[in-house]
Amino acid sequence: MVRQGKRSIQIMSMVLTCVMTLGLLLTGCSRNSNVSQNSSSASTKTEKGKLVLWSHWADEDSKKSFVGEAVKRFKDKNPGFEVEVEWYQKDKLITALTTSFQSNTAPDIFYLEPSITGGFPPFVESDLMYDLSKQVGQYIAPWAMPFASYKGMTYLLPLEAYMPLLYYNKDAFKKAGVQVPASGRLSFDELKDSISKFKSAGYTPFSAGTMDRPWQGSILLESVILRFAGKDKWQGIPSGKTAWTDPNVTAAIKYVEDITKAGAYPSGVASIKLGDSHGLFFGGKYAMFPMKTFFGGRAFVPVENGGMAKDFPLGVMDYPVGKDGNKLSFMQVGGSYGVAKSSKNAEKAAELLTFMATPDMAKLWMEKVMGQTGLKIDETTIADPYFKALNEASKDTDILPGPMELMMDATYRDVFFNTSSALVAGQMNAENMIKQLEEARAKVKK
Amino acid sequence: MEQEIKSKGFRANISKLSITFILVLYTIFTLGPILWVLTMSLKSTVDIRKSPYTIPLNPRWSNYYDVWVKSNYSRYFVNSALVVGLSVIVLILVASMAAYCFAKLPFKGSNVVFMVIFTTIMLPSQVILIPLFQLLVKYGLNNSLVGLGLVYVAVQLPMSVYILRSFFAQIPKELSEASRIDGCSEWGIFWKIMFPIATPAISTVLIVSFINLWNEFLFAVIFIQNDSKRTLPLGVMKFVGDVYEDLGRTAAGLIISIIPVIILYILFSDKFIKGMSDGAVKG
Amino acid sequence: MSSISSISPAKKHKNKLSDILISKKFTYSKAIILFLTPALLFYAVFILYPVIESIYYSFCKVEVFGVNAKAQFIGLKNYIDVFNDKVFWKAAANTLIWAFSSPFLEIPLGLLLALTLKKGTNITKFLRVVWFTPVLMPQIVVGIIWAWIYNSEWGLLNEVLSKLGLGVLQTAWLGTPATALPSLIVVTTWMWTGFNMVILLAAVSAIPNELLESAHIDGAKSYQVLYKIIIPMIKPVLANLMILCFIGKMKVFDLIWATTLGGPMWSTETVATYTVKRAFYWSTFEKGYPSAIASMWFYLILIISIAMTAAFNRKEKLEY
Repeated sequence: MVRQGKRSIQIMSMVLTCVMTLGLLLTGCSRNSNVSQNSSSASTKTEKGKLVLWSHWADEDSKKSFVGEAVKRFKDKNPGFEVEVEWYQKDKLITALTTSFQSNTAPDIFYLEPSITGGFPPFVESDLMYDLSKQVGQYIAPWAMPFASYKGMTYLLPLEAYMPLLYYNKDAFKKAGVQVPASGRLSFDELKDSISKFKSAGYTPFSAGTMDRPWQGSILLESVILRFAGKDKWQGIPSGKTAWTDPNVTAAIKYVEDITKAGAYPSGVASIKLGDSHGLFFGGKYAMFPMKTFFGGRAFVPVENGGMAKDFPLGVMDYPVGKDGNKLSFMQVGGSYGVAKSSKNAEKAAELLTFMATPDMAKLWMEKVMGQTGLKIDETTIADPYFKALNEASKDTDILPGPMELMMDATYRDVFFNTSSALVAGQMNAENMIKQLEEARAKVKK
Repeated sequence: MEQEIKSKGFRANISKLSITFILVLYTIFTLGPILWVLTMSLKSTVDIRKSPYTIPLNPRWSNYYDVWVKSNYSRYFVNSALVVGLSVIVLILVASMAAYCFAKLPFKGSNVVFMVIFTTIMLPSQVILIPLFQLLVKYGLNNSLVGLGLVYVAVQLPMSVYILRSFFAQIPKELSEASRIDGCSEWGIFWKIMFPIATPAISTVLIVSFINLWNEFLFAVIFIQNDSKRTLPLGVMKFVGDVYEDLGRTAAGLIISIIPVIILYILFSDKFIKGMSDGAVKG
Repeated sequence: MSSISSISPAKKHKNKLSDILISKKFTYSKAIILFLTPALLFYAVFILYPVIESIYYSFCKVEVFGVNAKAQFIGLKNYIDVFNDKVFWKAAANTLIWAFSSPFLEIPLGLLLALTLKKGTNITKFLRVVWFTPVLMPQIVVGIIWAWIYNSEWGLLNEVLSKLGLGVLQTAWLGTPATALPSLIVVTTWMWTGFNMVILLAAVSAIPNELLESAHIDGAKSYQVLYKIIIPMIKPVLANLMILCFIGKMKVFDLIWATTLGGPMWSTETVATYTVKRAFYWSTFEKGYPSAIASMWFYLILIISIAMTAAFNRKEKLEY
């Protein structure tokens, strides 16, 4: 056994305790001081004469070059000012941002999205954003203002915007004998009937994939609920006001269940990724693609980067008209930029953003990225046939702010996403889904 | 008698056959995916999507060039080599000292201390991400390879101490006794005798930690913000985008990143095997 | 110990001090301090402190986010919420299933493979490297590769199944709740079996040949040799491997993140993925709740470690 004298053991334990306590003390103090320090000497990322910008879109050249152009213009106007841009994937960007904000090392400018899981309202609610009203307020489109402002201040520049539309393969429609009426929209019944026609012609009716984005399962469902149930009911869902047992909402869920049963979705939908679902649609064996209009950013890049062939028979249409004749749809703000309040060069940072916001830049954005924007823009100046088709498809829709899950409590949303994905994968029936949603809703109403 | 031998032979043949079958099957299972990646690394992504399983007739070496030169891979490679190499060295020194202490120099409560250290092996690293980051910032170690290296040492410590302790425990006490009588200090005993003997276990720790750290992703992506300081796993992931997975280049990046680990393994595998089994058999 | 009672009191005292300083026991204590301090320092600063901070936050609700965060002490409320959180228990169950089932897959398979190899031949040396290579790949990349393999539209597995005429077995492997977790467990088995095989090969080779031969001469059948001789002799190795395997599976994250992200229907959600989601991908960045999840998990692991150590009956064979 241990052959030590008592004294040695005492010395030993004392010393060891001291060492560990020392270690803990050294670090333990940091917690308290962190909380109280705001602009003290702790290392912050920002320095005078330099702007740091963190952005998503590490692999989207079109968006990168857009940002590059804005940076160039800024630097031309501010010689000697350094701008450092770090590109991330959104996933890791969110983690990096939240960690850096909690340690006062946030970048000056950063990418954020007002909606979607991983939402950035926490940055806003915690008073971490710099008010951009002075510099960029004038460039923001009226419909996008609600997304970009909070308690009287403008906290982001809404660069990217999109809405849900039904993309389709014109050849597939021809071969399957499905006619798009003169009105430009199928009816809900026609849509349902077309499923079997496409299948007989050898096409998978929808391309879709729910593996790497939680909201993918609900793309179609959301629009169907909106058309079936109307504005008030749809807008009442996030707060828990609207019940899932409401006859129109239930009918919407059953509709999606029916077309799933008829084979509308690929059997492996649950293991297809968003990027894949685009690629599959471009491959030509899928007839329709319920998607949002950031589609353009992925379609109009070179084929070897995953884009669509130039001669692809692309068609765009809106979803079927609602039972009561409504043509409700929604628009949402996507990728945007904001300035950190703690930035040492907040004003300059805001200035950089103005270089992204001017009408000619808004036009550049749309042309480069082939997507919509929350900036003020005169869309008639865009000549591209794709945009013509988009405008044609959505010409008489009534636009609400969206998406539906934007204001949902995160746990509630989690259930909605999971059940929607299971629904279109054929792993859940309407009854079960409604039951689970009602359970989740009950917790929200508390 | 003859019949016995005959039937034994027959049985032996069948078992030989089934053994070979198992070997072949498992080799396909193991190597298959990796060989597939190898073929993909020599094709363009478009080709891969068209015909995923064919062997490239025109190997596209440009994938490797793109990855190494154009995407700053060489920079990432150097960074990884530095950080991981130095961390592992520090790790081995620190861990072996501690392990020796636990194994050979017991004191009251040493088992408790060891137990606490051992428990944290099972903690997923995400759990300590934010406090750790705040710590690094406080001491100016954020966005630095030094900071990352220190974290790496700490994170691999529990496992390494565990492995080395097993090994040291089975070294007969007579060895240290004899040296002690000869007047050698504990410090001397450790460095002159124990450490050299522990080569098998140390090789084990070397390989296991090196593999873990070489492929470590989460801390590397959060604690390092500058592209020029990034490590290899981040380089590999560069081609796996939100929008588009560049299969060909990702595959090339992957092949490049596993080569050093394979070389390391081949060099140290004998010692490593001896170390694990020695340390464990008697452990 | 030298007797000092015959010396005068003043001298006695002085001697005592210097005696201590050069005594073997003090050198011994000094040695312990010297050897242990670096490791303990690293550990205390980089691991212990973050864990303790996490535990502290688990008792708080952190209003407001960022540097101005105010931590409000709310006692056990977070823990009660975790207790009532269905997703947490599903995640915990998934993680434990993964951790408990893997040793029974990877280690027997590793042993089987080790037994089929003959000592020292070139093929053995070659296969030892080949079978080890999956271990060398980063989890994220393994995830990406296997996502391609399991892909239901053009993946390798479904291709092979249809070519073998087993087309009826085709399914969305990672997209069906029932098959998602087992599919991922197959991936980790693929990754780590080679590791176990290599170790067991060495352990088995260490068994003296005479023992095995005499058993054969005595008429023992192969499986008897296996159970009665081989396994008992390598028991410590098996125990070690099982512990390492278990530990590894408790921490799996990158693989899931690169494939199913916890879906479908939480069938591959683990404590690691759920904690990250709550900490970074929820509508608030409130730290208290994810800290409670992490702390709860830490307590659970602690209990399991203690139980495991006791179960494996590791007598402290400390000799000095």
